[in-house]
Amino acid sequence: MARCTNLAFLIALAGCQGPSKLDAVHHGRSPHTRIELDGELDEPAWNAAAMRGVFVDSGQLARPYSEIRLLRDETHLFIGHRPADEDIRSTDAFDVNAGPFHAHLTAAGTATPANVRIAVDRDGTLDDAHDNDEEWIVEAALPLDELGPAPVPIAAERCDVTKAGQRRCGRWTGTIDPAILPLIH
Amino acid sequence: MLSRFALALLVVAGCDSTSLPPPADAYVPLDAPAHPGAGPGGGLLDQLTFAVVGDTRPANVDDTAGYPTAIVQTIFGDVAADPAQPRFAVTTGDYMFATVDGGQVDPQLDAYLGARAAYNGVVYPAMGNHECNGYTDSNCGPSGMDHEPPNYLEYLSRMVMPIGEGRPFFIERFAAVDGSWTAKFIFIAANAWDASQQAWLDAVLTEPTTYTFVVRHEPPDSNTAPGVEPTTLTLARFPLTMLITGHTHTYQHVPAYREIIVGNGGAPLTSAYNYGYVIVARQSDGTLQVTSKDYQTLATVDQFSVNPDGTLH
Repeated sequence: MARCTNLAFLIALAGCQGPSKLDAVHHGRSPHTRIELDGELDEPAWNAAAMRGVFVDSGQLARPYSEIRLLRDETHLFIGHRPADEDIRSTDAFDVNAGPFHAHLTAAGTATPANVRIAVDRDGTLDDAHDNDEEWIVEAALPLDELGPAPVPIAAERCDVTKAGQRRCGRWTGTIDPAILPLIH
Repeated sequence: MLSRFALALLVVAGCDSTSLPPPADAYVPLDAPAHPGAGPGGGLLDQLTFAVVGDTRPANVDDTAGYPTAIVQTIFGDVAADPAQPRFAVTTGDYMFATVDGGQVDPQLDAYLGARAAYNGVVYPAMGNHECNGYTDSNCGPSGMDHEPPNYLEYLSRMVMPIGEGRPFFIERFAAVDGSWTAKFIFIAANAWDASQQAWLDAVLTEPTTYTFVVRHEPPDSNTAPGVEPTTLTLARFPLTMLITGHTHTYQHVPAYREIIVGNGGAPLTSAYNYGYVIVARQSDGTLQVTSKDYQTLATVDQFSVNPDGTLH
């Protein structure tokens, strides 16, 4: 796979994928610049401003690990989701209920309904259990005007089947008020 | 590097079989430091018992606020209190998740080293890909294509030099105070790979010891790291008791490679295993008992024994 060390090359490719860890990118953006949907979560706002939640299972930190981060701009709710995963399958999915709106987002990079925009970066191989994968990262945008009135309840769930055949689910719930959620210009 | 003292030790049992064996009753020169206890270069031990911890980085790049400080601190506190009383610890790499120019290398090392201080024994670190530029296929060092970013230099300065080493690859030599065993720990830096490390590896692997431990961040399957395939091929030519790796954020025993993966030290877990650590303890019959423990319950989640030649006992 091509190596992504050159910044211009990186920006041009917007997130090459493959077995290497694509995790050392710095675009030098200010904390509140626009989110580029590339599956990288490397805009500073994801660390500096985003509302965040860690998934739990029966009161404990979910295993495998998952977390969600939330930002918005004038028209969209941005969701960053980082599920660690030793075996990434194209059927692996992450479900979000935001008010009346339901989104289904997969490790293969598909999303329903169609008005959800999504980018996925995978650190590992898809549908290949022979190696150990690390994670897949979702960067998605949901239409704000379909989330209903504030406060908007958020319920996110991710289930995974480990290599040992254990099905495990992690969840996070919270409430957002888009008016006060960190705004990305 | 601190000076070492040549030490003549009688190797009485289980010497590596494929290296040139010493004649019967011969003393094998072992460059183990003469100081008692683990320290720079290794040392003389009353018991070969050590802990393994790794990986420890946050989930997101430059996310120092999300550093798993509490988890790492608990793990090293567990190690300190473990009934086996590990004489030292080895770590498997990835102590940070920081861009090379984001200014978060030192803050994350501050968090790590502060948490690690819960254990006051000597800790010998292996270099991970995040101590280069983060890519698995990165290669740092004076001759590496990724040069010497702060991740690399600060790692050397703050974690390697304090144990008396000057390069990311090094060997620690241990011997029993009663002369009953010898052990070498070879720390490979697969993300600072060059011909000099290959030559060094070829040389140190020829040293006859009862036990040979190799600590390398990446498992054999993570072969985009520049030093993985060359060292995997090299290791196949020499005796190996145990390959200790991380990179994959779980615990795993891989008998085919004589390997334990210990990557559940705080980095985002990829499987159902909880965070934890491993204790390796030499038994009176010369075998090594390997115990993987949960950091919250301290329950044993896996346990097995191996012979000095790495085969399962």
